[in-house]
Amino acid sequence: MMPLNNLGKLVISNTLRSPRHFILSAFGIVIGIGAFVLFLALTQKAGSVLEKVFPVEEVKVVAPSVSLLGKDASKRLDKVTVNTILARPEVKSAVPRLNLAFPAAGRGEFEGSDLKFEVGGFADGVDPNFVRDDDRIKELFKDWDAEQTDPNRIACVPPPHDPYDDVRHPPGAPPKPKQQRASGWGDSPAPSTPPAGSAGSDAGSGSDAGSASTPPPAGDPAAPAKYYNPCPNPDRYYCDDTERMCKHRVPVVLSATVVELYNNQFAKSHGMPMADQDLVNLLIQTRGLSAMRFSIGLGNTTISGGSRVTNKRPRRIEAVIVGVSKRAMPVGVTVPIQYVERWNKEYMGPEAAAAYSAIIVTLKDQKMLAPFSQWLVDEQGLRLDDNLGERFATVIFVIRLLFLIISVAILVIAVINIGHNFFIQVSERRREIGIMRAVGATEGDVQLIVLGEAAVIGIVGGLLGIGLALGIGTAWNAYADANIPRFPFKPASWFEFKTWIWGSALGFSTLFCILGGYLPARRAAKMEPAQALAQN
Amino acid sequence: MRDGNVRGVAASPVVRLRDVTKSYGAGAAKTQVLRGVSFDVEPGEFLALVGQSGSGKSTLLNIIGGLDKPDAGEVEVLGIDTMKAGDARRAKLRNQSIGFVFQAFNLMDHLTCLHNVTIPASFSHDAKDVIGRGREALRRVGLSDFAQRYPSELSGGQKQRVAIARALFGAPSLLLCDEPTGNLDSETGKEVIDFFRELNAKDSVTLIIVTHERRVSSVAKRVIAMRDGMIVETSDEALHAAGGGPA
Repeated sequence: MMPLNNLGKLVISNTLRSPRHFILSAFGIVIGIGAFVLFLALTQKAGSVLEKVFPVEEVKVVAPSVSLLGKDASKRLDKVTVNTILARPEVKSAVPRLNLAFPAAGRGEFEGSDLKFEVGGFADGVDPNFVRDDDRIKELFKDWDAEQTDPNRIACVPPPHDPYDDVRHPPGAPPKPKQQRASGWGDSPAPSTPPAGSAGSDAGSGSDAGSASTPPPAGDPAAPAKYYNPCPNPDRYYCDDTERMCKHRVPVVLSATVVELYNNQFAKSHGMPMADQDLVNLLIQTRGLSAMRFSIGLGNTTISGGSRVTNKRPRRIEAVIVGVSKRAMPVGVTVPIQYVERWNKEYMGPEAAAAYSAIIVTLKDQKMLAPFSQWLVDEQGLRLDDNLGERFATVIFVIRLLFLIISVAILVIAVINIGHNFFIQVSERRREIGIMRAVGATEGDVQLIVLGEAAVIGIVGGLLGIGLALGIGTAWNAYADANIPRFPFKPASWFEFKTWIWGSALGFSTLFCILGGYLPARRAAKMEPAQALAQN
Repeated sequence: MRDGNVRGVAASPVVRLRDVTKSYGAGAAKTQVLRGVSFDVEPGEFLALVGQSGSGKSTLLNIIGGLDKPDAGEVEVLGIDTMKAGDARRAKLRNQSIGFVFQAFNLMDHLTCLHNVTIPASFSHDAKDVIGRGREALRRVGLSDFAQRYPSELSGGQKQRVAIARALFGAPSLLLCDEPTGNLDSETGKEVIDFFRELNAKDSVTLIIVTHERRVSSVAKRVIAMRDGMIVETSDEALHAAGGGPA
């Protein structure tokens, strides 16, 4: 075989001398690879958005709802169920989720607005090791109450009670002054804890920042005294009303769906600022965790009429959003499961602390989903939760397949075109091939030269195709940004140009061109040199 | 002599042909081009193959150079049985030991003269001073100043000299020339023939020239005349010295 550097020089020289042939051959490849990259990047992005909404790689095992004489008689999901599922060979992991089993109300401030919201029914707990989205979450999303040696757990005086924090105002109480800033998500320069939860129905969601920084109007009988959070590291610690001790705020993660719901349903109607996922992270990074804290009134509710589920006395705890996680409850908040276990036990008894709401199962291979599902139904009396994400994933898979077929069809046409052009080239260059054979080229050398020229078309055509896709993608992003109104999960970029897409595009274009050049190259190699030279 | 005559039995001939046959086409269209040709060419010989068009002389030259394969017979060139040698071995033989000069020059129009001359180096692993050797080959044919010119800028004689420089690039021991003066005027043709004679005399390069021109065959040391694929007549050095030779 001829030396590779000589092969490269000859190939480049031959390619440069016939630009018309190059353009004719490369045109189809540029279009085909452009479509290939664009379609793959688009469906890749669609898949990424889908993963934000539904973690499609995991399935959710639930017990079918069964009621007997008005009582819930559903099969119980507990540690034994988790271990039984874990024993299955196709199962990689099984993580229980535990819903908050009693009412709770949240309250906080975000960008100057006082927010009250229901937490009961919209909160669950999960193993902290299951939620590892970023470094901040890894550091903060854990059971802080289990840290008995935490030096910040010191005695403290909780803030006085603020009646405006109560969800249900006492009859005859004056309306809350406008300028009073509530607790939670504000950016108080000296964060302080909210008023202590009072006994009975008015205990619950508290406030801190406002009471620390803005005095209430004169003459207001409910105005609390100025109070500053006495705990060390006040961004993360608060003075607990019940234990009268500094405790770490309960770490909370939100799902991207909640952020989108806030943006599209709540922020618009309440004139609040948009808070996309990046904004949440930005707020935490720039203003600290204090920007994302809020309080939860355990046993309290925002629903008129109150709760009849438990007769336990409500109490206030404080929480802080530590990030956005794809493992968070789709519509609600998620905390480390140990908190929910303790709270459920406290308010509903030990049974409520051990009966899981669902088990998240990750399979070793998605193809094993069908047999696993069958086993669940037949032998465990359980079922997979109706997974909308799986359906969307299937749709995206089909669309991706369709796009790939279109791209491959374009590429196949391009390959046929390349083959045709190379046959013409080989025919036109018969004498040249004869000369090369006469001066020492082997059949293999001639074949390599033609294939090398095809490969150059593939590489350059592939690069141009990738460039074309990037150009179209950038233009579309700019157009969509300016002209398409915001909608849930509207991406900043509609395409995800992953390295593997570029790599495979370049690989495919080179491979397809080499395939197209193979038969002409073979014909060139097998050409009898004497006959090739006889051509005038 | 019509029996595949052989000039002596040398110990190691440069070319050794025995009963070489070659035909083209098949069935009724089959044309027998060579019919049992046998002869040897000794080192340093200057042999002219003469004959009418279609007599098989060019086919014979291509077979000797490994550019074509005979149907049957034995072909040994520089000690290598080219019938049995693989493509790579024959290619190496052409690259390192055989030079070709064609009637149509067969230069690559998109390459400079120097690049045309050095093109055999592309297929060789001997990368030593390729440019220097190329320039030296051009100097030998009197075209030192034409290294960067393209073939389209040259006259017919100059093109043929570039082709000769390419043939000499690898310092071959056997030069095969197919009607090298066929496209040249008589003056230029004479210069080319003089160059070959000098090459043969000074460098002992074995030359086999296919020609139908008497002025070319007259300078050869030996002439083999062919007709209808067979050797019909040979002459030796003594005959040429006497000024004879076949037409």
